[in-house]
Amino acid sequence: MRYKTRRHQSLASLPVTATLAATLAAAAVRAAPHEQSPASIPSTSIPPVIRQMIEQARQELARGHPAAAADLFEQAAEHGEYEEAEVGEVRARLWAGQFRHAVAISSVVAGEHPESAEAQALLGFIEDRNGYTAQALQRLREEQQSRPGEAAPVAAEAEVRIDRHSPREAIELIDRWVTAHGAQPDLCRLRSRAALVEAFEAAGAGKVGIAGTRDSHNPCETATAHPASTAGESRWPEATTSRFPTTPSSPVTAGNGVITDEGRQVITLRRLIDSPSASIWVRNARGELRQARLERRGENASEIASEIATLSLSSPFAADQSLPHGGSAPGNAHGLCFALSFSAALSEDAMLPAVTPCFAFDLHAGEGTFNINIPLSVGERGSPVFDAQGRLMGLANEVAAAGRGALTGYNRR
Amino acid sequence: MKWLPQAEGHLPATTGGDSPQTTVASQSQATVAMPELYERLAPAIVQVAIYPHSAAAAATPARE
Repeated sequence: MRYKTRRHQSLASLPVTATLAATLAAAAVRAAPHEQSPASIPSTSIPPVIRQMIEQARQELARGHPAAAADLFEQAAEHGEYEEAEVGEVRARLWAGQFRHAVAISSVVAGEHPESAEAQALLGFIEDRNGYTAQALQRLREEQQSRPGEAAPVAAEAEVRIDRHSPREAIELIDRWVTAHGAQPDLCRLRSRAALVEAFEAAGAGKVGIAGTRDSHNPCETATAHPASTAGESRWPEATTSRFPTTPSSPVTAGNGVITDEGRQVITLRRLIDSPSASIWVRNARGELRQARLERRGENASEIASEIATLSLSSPFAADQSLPHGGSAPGNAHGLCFALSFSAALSEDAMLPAVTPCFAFDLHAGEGTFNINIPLSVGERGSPVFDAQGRLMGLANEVAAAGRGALTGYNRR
Repeated sequence: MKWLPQAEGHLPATTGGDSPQTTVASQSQATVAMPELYERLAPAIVQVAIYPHSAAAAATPARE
């Protein structure tokens, strides 16, 4: 069933700047082409004006303006079922944080473009972010079986597995593909992330840098390069984002936190950052980077004893990225919950946080600690856990133990 | 132990149209769609990276 609301427009409705090119292209594309042919339009027959719009969108994406890119892709897609435009819009909406929009169009685009491995990969990835990991993995595996030469479904599965505590499986998946098809940059980037996460987790306490994560059996370093991308070969690019500082040394540890106080502060676990020699940087899902400073502890006993630390920022994030005032759950909250986290927090790659459903129980009122029925990785320390209504219950403070994690309760009232 | 096999057992799920809609039910039976929660809350999540102070003092973000 298709329920996309867009109507494919005549090229005559394009902006003035595109009118000349549109005139030249008018013979190639008639009004409402999808009504003449429900099949997607091959990239080789995209009219120049549409091609130009798609290129502009890609440039916006490369400049780190995914919302502008998404609108340009959408404008291009209004003139026909151009795979590059529609798939590009899904990716751009996702990177722009327009998750509901991305969810709404991803399944439609995947349905309209069954030939697009990237469309199927994006749908699978969005399903995972939405909490449907098993469904996502099934879709991605089926896509890999039907199109073994395509990189995007492999990359999407690898990214899901890295975030779901399976970096070794991600490495093995990538290695099989690279050995068979050659080194591919998107996959090799993900392999490096997986190796980093694996080393970080193996260190347990997280007191390890990213050096020493090279391994001697990395086909990305020995295989010949995959042939240059052609029309049929999908990609799995990463968003343009601010990089963490370029330093001679690597982060000593990493975790998660959450923006509060209308963008001016971040809260995280004190044990992550409680070192006088620490230099602290935070980066959000939009790829915006800030240096942070540990706020001095207050005088009262509860603040001194708290496991939750407050960071002030070099410059505030936008206020609309902050948890709202009154956004914390009651102190005795328990039951259904979900964690939102950058599982591979030590990685400098652009990433989107993943949802992990959970159940919170065994409240120790005196200690302010919950148990939750999901294990947590080292990189997920400090991840916020919310109740079913999206109110903050606490921050993850224990790694996997007997299949459980633990929270430090958070209630500012 | 990984959470993958149990993932869909934790939450009641409904399907609307072509888009999977994960929902979580509160004790009052009110439901909130996961895409809405994700869009609202994901921008607030940050990576926190800790560097040795001496190394990061002269650091410059590569891009911003």
